[in-house]
Amino acid sequence: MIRGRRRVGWGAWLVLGPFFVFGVAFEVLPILTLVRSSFSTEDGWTLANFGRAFTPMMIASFRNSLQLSAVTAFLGVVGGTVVAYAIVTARRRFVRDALTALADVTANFGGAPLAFAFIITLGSTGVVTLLLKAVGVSLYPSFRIYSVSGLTIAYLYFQLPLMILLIVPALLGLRQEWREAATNLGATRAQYWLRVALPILAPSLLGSFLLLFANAFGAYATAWTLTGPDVNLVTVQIAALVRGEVQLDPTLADALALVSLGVMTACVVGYRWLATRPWRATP
Amino acid sequence: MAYVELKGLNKSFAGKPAVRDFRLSMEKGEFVSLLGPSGCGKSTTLRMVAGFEEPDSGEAWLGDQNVLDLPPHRRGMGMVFQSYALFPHLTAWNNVAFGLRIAGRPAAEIRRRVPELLELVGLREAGGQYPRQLSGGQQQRVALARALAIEPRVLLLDEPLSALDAVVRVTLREEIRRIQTALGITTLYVTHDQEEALAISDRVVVMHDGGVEQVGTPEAVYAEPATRFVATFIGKINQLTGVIERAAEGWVRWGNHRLAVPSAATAGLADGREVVVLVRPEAVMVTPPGAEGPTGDNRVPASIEIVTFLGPVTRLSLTMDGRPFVADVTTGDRGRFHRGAPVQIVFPAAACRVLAVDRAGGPR
Amino acid sequence: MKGRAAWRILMLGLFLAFMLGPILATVLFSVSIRWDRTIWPEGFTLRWWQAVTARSAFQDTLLNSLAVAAATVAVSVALVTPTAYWAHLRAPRAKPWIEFLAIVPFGLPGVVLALGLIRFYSGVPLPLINTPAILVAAYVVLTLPFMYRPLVSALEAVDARTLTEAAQSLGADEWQTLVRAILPNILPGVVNGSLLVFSTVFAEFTLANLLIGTRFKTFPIYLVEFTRFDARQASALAVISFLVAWLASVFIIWLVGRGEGPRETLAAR
Repeated sequence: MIRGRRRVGWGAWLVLGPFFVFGVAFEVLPILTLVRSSFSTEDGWTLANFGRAFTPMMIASFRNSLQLSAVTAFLGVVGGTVVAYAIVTARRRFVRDALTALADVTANFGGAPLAFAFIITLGSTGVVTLLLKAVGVSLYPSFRIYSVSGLTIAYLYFQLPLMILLIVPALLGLRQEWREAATNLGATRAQYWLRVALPILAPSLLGSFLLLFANAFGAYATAWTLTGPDVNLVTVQIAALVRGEVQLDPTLADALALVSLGVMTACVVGYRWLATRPWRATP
Repeated sequence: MAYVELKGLNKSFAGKPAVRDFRLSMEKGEFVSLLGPSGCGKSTTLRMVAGFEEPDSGEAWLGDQNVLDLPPHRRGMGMVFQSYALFPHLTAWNNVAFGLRIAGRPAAEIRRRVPELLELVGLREAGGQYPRQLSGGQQQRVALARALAIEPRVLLLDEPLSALDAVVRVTLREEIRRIQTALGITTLYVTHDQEEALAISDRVVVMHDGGVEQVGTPEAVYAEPATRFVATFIGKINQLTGVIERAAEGWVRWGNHRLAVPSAATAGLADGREVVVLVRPEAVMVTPPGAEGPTGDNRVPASIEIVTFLGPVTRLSLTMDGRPFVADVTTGDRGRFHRGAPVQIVFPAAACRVLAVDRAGGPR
Repeated sequence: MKGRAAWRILMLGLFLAFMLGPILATVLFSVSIRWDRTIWPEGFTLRWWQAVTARSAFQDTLLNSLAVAAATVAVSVALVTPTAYWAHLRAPRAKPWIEFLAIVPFGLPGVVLALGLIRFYSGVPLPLINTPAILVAAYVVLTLPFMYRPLVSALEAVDARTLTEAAQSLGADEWQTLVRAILPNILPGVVNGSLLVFSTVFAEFTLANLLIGTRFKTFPIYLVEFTRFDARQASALAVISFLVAWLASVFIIWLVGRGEGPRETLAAR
C-alpha cells in the first residue's frame, strides 16, 4: 500500500469522477428511469403496468424467449462440453490450439451476418438444403430457417464456442490424480465420470448454462435479421415498442424491459455465485 | 516363491530410457522403498506396477498372476499419491468409502468399516470435513485410509510425504510404518529422502538413472554401499582415491600415507589398481596429534578448517594432506576443537570400504 | 483406445463443419453468379462485390462504423485506464463500486439499454438523442466489461503496485507514474481491450438501429437492409463483417500467444 495516505484523497476522486459520472449518466439513470416508469402511472406507484404488460401476446413472447434460451443453453452446454472434452484430450498441441482459437473467433460472430450466413446455408435454396435433397432428405416445407427451429440452430452457432471457452479451464482443472485415484480404487471410466468428474464440474456446467441462457435471452440482432417480427420474442417486442411501431403506452415497454433485466441479472448473479464455489479452488 | 515378483521392467519416453531392466522380489508383508534422486525412474516403476504407465517389456507377478495383463482398476492395489488426490467434492468419510461403494459393498459394511479406518489413521472426528478444510498431513491420512479401505494386496505410495513440512513428515512416516506392520500389507514406497527410506523400510532399492544400484537392508546399504553412487547418496562419506599397494595385506597407498583396509576388500584386485576408500565421518576418532592407539588403526595428521554445529553432532571439515575430509564428533566434545588446530584422524581398517575404480574413471 | 480416437475425430469434424460451413458458404455465395439450384455455384463473378462497394452508401456506412468504433475505443481507453489504475491502487474503497458499474452491462440487453437511454434523454434538454454521441456513449457502457477486465488483469500481472512504488521512489508524481511507468507495461492489456471493444462495436446492430438508425447508418444496419433487398450483395457485406471480426480476434490471439496479453474472450449477443 502507498504509505502516508490516510484516506482517499480528493485527487483520486478527480480521476475517478468522470468514470462515475459517465456510469451514472449512461448506466444507472437509464435503468432507474425504467424502474420508476414501470412502477408508476399518473396516479402514483403501482404494479398495474406489469398487469397490463402481461397480455397473452406478451406472455407468449416470454414463453418463447425462455424456451429458446433454455433449449439453446442446454444444447450448448451438452454439445460444448463434448467438443471441449475432445479438444482438451487431443494429442497434438496444434489441434488443441487451432480449435481453441476457432472457438475464440467464432464466439464473436453473432448478429446479422450470422443470420444471413444461415439463410444461405439452410434457406429454401441453401447449399445444405440442396445437398440433403440430393441424398433424398427433403427439409422443406416442414422445416423453415425462418422459424424458431432455424433460430435455435443459428443461436447454437455462437452458444457452442462460448461454452467451449467457458468449460475448457474447468476441464483442464480436472486433475489427472483424481482420475488415477478413482481408477486405482476400482472405478471404470463410466463410474469415474459419474461419481467424480461430473460432480466436480457441476458448478461450472451450471454457471455456464446460466450465462448461455442470458446470452440467448438478450440477443436481438440475430433474431431480427432471421425472422423479423414473425417470431415473438421479448427482445423483439421491446424493440418494436422502442421504435413506436406498436401504439401502446410507454410504461408497458418499460415494464417488459425491467422484467427482462430481472431475468438477466438473476442469471449473471447466479453465474458469479457458482464461479466461486469452494471445490473449484484446488489445494 | 516371492509374493511380488517384478521382472525385467523397461520403459522409455521419447527414446530415452527411464527404467532399465528393473527386477525385484518382495515377500508378503515386506516394506520396500525405492530410493533415488529425481529422474531416477522410481516413480515410473511404481506407476507401471499400478497400471498408469505401460511398460515396454517385463512382467509383474502378484502371487500367480501377471498383473500387467489387468487394467488398472482391477489390480487390487491401493495407491497413495504425493498430492493426496482426495476428491474435493466428497467429505473425508465419503472419500474413504469411495472404493467400497464402487465395489458395491453393502451399506452396513461401509458404515462399519469407514469409521474403523478413520480411527486407524487417527482421524476419527474428521469424517465430515472436506479436503480443503484439512491440513496436508490430515489429507494424506485420509488418502491412506481410502487406499486401505479396498483391502489391497499391495500398497503403493508415491512420495507421499514430499509435500508436507519436516515435522509432520517424521510423525507421519512412523505412523505409516506402524499401520503397515499392524496390517501386514506388502508395501512399495517411493521417496527421494534417504533418511525416510532408512528409517522405515525392511529393504531399500537405491536407483539411479533408470537402473538399480543396490538392494539391501538399510544397514547394509548404509554400511556397505556397493557403488560410489550409493555411498555418496546415502549419508555423508569421505572418498579417498588411492592405489592398491599390496592386495593380500590390504594396503592402499593414498598420497604420502599407507592406509590399512580389510584384506577381504582388496582380495581379487590386482596391485596397482586404482581404488576409492570410503570412510563414514562418524567412524573416525579425532585425537590430538601424535596420540597413541592400537597398531592396526590408520593414523593421519590433519588440520581443522571449519567447525559446524549440527545439533547432536558437530561436523569438522578438515584438510588431510591437502585434501578435504569430514569427521563427525558428538557435540559434547566440541570444546576441544577449534579452527586451525592440528589434530590426528584415527580410524580402524574395518571402518573402510573399498571400491575399484574402472578404467573409465567411475566405480565398478 | 482406437474407438476413442475415432469418436474424437467425429466430434471435432462435426464441430468444424458446423462452424466453418456457413462462413464458407457465404464467401462462395458472394462470388457466385447463381447458387440456388445446384450444390456447387454456377459460375463465379465479382459483380456483386463491385456493385455493393461502388455505392456511396457503402463507404458512408463503413466509415460511420469505423468512426464510431474508433471513438468508442478512444473514450473507453481514456475513461477506464486511469480509473482501473486508481481503483486498483489507491482507492480500494471505491473499487467495489467501480466493479459493479463495470459488470452491470453484462446483464444489460441492447434493447433494454436503448429503451432506457431514450426514455431518460428525451426528457433531458441535452441535444444527445439522435446524434452519434449517444451511440458512442451507449457503446462505451456496453463494452465496459470488455475493457475493464483485461486492464485489471494486466495491472495485476505486472504488479502495478510495486512499479508505482519504484517510480515514486525515483521522484515521479502520480500522473508521470501512470504515463511513464504503468501505461507502457499494461499496453498489451489496453490493446487487447481495445480490439475487443472495436470488434464488438463494429458488429453491433441493436443499439445503432434503435437509437439513431434512421439518421445515422452504421455498417450492420446497411447489411440488414441488403438482406431484404439483394442477397448476393448482402453476402459480400457479410463477408466483410466476418473479416473484420476475424482480424480482430486473430490480433488478440497473436497478442496472447506472445504471452503479453491476458486472455479475454467474449461473445456477441
